[in-house]
Amino acid sequence: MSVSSSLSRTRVASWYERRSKRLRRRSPRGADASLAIGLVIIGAMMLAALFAGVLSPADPTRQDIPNALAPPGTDGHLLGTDALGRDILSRLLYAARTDLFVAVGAVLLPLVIGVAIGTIAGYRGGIVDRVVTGVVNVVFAFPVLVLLIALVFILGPGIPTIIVAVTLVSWVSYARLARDLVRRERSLDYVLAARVSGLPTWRILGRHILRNIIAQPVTFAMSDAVAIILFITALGFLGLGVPPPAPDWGTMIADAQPYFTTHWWLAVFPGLAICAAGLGLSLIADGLSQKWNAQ
Amino acid sequence: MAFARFFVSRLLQAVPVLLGVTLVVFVLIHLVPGDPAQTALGPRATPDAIDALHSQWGLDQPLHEQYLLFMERLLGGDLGTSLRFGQSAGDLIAARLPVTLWLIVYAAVLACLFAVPLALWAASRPAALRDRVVRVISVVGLGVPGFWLGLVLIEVVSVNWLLLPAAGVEPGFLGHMESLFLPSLTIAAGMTPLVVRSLRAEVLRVTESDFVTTARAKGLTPHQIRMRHLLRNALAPSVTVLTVNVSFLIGGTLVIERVFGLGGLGDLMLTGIDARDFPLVQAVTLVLAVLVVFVNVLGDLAQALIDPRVEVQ
Repeated sequence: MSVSSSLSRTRVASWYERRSKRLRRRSPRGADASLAIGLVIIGAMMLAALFAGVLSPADPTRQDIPNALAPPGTDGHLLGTDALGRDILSRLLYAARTDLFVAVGAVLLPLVIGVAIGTIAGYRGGIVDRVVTGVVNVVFAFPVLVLLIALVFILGPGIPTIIVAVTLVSWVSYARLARDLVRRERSLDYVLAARVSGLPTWRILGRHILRNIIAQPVTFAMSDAVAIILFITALGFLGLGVPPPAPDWGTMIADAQPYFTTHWWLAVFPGLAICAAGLGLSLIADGLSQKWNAQ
Repeated sequence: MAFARFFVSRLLQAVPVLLGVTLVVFVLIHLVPGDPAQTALGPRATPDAIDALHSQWGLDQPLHEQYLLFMERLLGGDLGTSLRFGQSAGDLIAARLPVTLWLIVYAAVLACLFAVPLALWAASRPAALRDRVVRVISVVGLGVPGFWLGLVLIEVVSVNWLLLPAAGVEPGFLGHMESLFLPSLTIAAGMTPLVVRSLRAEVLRVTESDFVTTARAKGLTPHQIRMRHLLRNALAPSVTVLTVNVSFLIGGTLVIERVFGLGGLGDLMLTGIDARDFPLVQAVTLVLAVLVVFVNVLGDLAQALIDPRVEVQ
């Protein structure tokens, strides 16, 4: 009995030791790899979107009915054409421009507004904090996509509407995060020292507190960006996205739905484009959060 | 007794949130650029028709009166009248709610079936190969759009393999199980990475707590510790993780219902949107938000039952 229990104890102990050693050694390296691959994917997609005009073999909106539904590899159409004979590669590139541009706006705006509101609420406390927390809780009660769809419907279609709608829905995550972080930070010595030395509030917030808390909201923004890309393309798929003829990945998939069985390339390529963007952002988020955890 | 107190205070906590939700839904119609009645009826509407709609919606009254009227109707069980169907929005929603609830529960169960074993497996050897495999799965899975995955699944499973129905809902329990499998699988696939991540982190947190150290000191094997101690303590966090993600789950059903033509609440909302049916869209938005609040309360109660240390913040 005593022999077997001491044996298993040694085994357990070595199991936990091995585990904790691995934890220390591996996570930063995995983090760097994730971050690097993610940055390469997103960087390449950004460049492709930026130089869509140069890279596109054709005008993404030019219809060519006689050449409709041409399979990939057809002369002049590397990824084939859609039901209206439009070049799919060109449409993918221009859609990247639309979707990535909307995503950048829809991530940055809530980040800035949410962090600002959350920081003020967390620092001030009292009634301001209670009001902000109340509003945040109410917005959190809505399923994100449902409120987003309702808002885009109410405000009317278009790129600015989508960005405004996403901002109205997703600032709350940043506000809650920033508020909690600032409340923790508020009572630390360096903030007290700054206050005692008579620095104005905006300066304490901007130069001292914000600098110490900003890493977490930024990390969260990257994982939020994955969701945002999926939301934007889902809006397009539901017919609530960027109005035509501007191409968008979600709309391309919606248009391709009737042809899926017979002409797979219409839906598969835009789907892969969304997956690639999602994967890139997801890797960046994963890398950042691991680095953050390692610290 | 402690649970009863927890129950009451948690319910009371939900009241201001619900009030806020009604306020947001009420405000929605006032965010419509221009005149909502004109927008709803289209450019060729007669002034009389527009006036009639104004008085029906109470738009001719001051704002606070409008909200009071809205609340009065709501508390009387009146969710408004759909323009498109000329029918009570409440009745329309009641007829379509079951499919959506089925889908939500089915997807949640499937997500748990995937996520719990994966999370436990990954957390049993952090940073080892299995942990990295699970991490790669969840990182990749996060970025896949559900509506596209749904289309691919229909194409592969229903059209090529002729295995499951591609659209619609079959009657009966087994019919539901069969016809809602692919849609639920699609939603679960999107949700699993989120659940795996949080759950893995929770299990690791529990691994470092004192009772695990005690269990180790008692001489239990890692397998015994995992089965007897970690699993039970990971149950409460799983419930939290699921309820936190219920908002994601409901949003997912909305799009997936459209992909598979299921005719649930999401489909109703999108039909309302196509018809510029403001009351219907408002009503569905309200019901779905109330559902989220309700599930969150239920989740907290379930957690309190599992873990007596849980308290209302």
